Amino acid sequence: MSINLFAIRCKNVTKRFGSVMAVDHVDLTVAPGEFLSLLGPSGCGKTTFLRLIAGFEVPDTGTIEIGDIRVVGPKRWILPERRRVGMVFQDYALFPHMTVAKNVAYGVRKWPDQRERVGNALRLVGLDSFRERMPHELSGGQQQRVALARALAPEPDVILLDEPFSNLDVALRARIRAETREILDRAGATVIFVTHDQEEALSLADRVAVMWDGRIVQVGEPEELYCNPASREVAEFVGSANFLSAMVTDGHAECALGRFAVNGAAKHGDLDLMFRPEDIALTIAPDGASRVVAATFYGHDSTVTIRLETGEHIQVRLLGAPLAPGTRVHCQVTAEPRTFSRSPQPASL
Amino acid sequence: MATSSKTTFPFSLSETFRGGRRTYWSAGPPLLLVVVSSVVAISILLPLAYLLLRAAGAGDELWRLLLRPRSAVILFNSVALASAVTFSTIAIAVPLAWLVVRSDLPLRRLWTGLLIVPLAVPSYVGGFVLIGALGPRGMLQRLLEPLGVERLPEIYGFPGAWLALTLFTYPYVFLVVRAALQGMDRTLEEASRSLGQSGWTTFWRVTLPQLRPAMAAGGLLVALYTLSDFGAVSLLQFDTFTRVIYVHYQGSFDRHLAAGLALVLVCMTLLILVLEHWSRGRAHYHSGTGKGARSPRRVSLGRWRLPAFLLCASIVLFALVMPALTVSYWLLRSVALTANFSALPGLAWNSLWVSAAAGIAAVVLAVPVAYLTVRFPRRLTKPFEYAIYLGYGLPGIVIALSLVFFGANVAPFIYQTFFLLIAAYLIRFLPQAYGNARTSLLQVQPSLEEASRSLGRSWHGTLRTITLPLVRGGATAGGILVFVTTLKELPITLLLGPIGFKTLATEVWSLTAEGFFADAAPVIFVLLSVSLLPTLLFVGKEP
Repeated sequence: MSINLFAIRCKNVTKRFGSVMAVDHVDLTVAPGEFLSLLGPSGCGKTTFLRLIAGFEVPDTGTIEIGDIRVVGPKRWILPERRRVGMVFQDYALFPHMTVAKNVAYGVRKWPDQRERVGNALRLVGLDSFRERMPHELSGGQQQRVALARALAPEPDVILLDEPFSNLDVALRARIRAETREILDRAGATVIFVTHDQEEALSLADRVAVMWDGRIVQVGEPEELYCNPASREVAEFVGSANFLSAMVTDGHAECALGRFAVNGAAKHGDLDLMFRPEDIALTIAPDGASRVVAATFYGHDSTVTIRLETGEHIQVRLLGAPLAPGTRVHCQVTAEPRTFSRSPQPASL
Repeated sequence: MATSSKTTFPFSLSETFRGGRRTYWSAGPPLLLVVVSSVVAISILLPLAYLLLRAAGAGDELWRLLLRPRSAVILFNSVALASAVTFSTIAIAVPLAWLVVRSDLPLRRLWTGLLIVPLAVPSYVGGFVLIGALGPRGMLQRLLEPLGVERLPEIYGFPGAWLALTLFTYPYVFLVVRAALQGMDRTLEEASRSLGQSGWTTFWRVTLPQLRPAMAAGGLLVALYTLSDFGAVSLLQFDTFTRVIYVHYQGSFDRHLAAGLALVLVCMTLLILVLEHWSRGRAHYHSGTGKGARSPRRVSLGRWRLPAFLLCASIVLFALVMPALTVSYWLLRSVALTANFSALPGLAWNSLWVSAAAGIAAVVLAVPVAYLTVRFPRRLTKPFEYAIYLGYGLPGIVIALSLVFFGANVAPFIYQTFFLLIAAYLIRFLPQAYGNARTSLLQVQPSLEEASRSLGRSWHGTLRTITLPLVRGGATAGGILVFVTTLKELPITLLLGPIGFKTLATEVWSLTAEGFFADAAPVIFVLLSVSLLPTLLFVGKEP
């Protein structure tokens, strides 16, 4: 029975490749049993961070603790094979010269209960009948599940997944995502899951850590992250965002879409207000000051670009078919905007 | 759930930073690999450096010898032979490759096979074939004697050497150009046709320019082969560098000159490599990715069918049928003369065991070096790779000579031993094993090794259970390749074989040189039987 308050705790972890700061003074704590998603654009250092936890890279500074064991720290380095960390690789890394069963048995070789563990792991992912297949005989989704079973068989304290769905067909992805989450929940493992797909991160994770330029800029539950982004970068990366310039007077910000109360620091001066595309309702109005300039139809919804009176452009999401370009509309804000200071400042916690 | 397994986890979890850092590759290569690779690299470089030192030590004396008019003749002969052979092989191989890949020539697969086989004929056997078939007392002469033909045109000297080397090295160009034609992006030709150019214009202005890198690469192989060839030029008595170096070495009165000439030969080799590199660097060609893989539209030969057939047939006649006939003819004569075959098993055994030893040693040394160069930063490991490939560009006789100097003067305890002989084979042929090992290692994704580590296996456990099983096939192939090339090797065995040590190759050469064709034929027969099958297995893979 674990009494730890954390499954993974990283403090001040830094990794530099030449002149590039891949991971820049990162602090992160993951609770036992938590499903944390590490979200960021490609090249932001998220995979490097995962590899630091797994022990495939040696950090320049910082400490990493897994369970009650410090695996990296001053004068301390635990080999990757002794960290009890399971890893699912982006390319799955199934051993091509071994059957499915041998792949899964690899991490529990010589354990007294090897047979049971392999059986349990394969049953967990629903591939019990594929034991004697070779990896190349499986579909992408099946390979991904074998990789998962292999990582789960030794019952590691922590499972790391590096973009495990990026090699799958879009059509398969949603289903396999849900299945994976279910399997990992049943296994009760602590999970860190790397992705660049914000939809994937928001829909799967208990908490999301957003990484930008080697730093973690915000950690929070998916809703909080979406509704209350800590910076413009987060706002733009997690979902899409419209920014409108506003003038603040007497605790109210005036922008092209109206006047809104602002709490907090600036009582006067310039601000940017952020509106999500779904937070704006359109009504067709021949005398409207705004005009549809472009429209994209996606099926169950569509996006229209509106040119406002001020010349600013915003994106608005509509259910169903879009409005034809040229249509004059009236915009109504349905949710409270977030405020950001005018000059984009470096993101920080 | 996770806690129950902790007790069964069979490792101690306390390891010091230092201990771990050493054995995990993100913190630097394992010491053992660096040591093995360094020993290999130094063993290759040391004898060559020594040769350089000795030649430099001769000073003015050497310059006096090198600047004699005779040296100019040798230089001219070598350059003339290398250029002539290179151009003639390209002239033969490009049309042949085009015919078997892009035309509707009947029996293309059969022709392809037949046209590749001559690759398996060592140059001294080529020499035997030309002398034994076309020489003054050869097969043709004897057959024509009843018709009153007293004399055939002279085969010794330039014509024989040129013919022998052309006939048995054109497959190098053929293979490279064929591969280029197969991989070529067909849409370029289609673009040219759609722009209103005829098929003929398209071939000259689009297809052929795209083949240039392949022709250069194939030509480079042939030029290097010709420069380094000893067997054909020595038997056909044409004074190029290799033959003169050997004569001077044998005379043993003037080993400094041999060393000096060897250095000039090395310089020429380097010059060719630089030229090739330069010509390749000027343009970028992309072989078709995916699109080129479509089966190419075949060009109908029409009335050119017969000439095309005759071209293929005549090459096969000279490069394959003539050697087969010549060897058979002399083999029958030797049986008729009730020749003594008792020496054959001993010769075959000698050939087989030194070659097998070289093949195994090559794999054992190549895999660690390949592992180092594939898995660790290039800037650190590049020198090891350069050292290994150095042997590839060096003529066998230069390697042999440098080891003779080195052994006789610096390390007399290994001189005239099998150790030195096999070391020389390795310097020459290690690149073949290395290339194979490297290619198969590159196919092993690093994530496979990382997955194994994260599943609790140490780096050597990972090596044993994942990496080595996955490269075994490729490494074995490299070993067999080294085995076959060693089997056929001549100058190194001649110079470095312990006194009285004879192999199939040296016996063929000395019997042919002395004109005992009937005695040489059975030895050739055994040699080709042993080496043909593995050679054919690998021509598909080796450009």
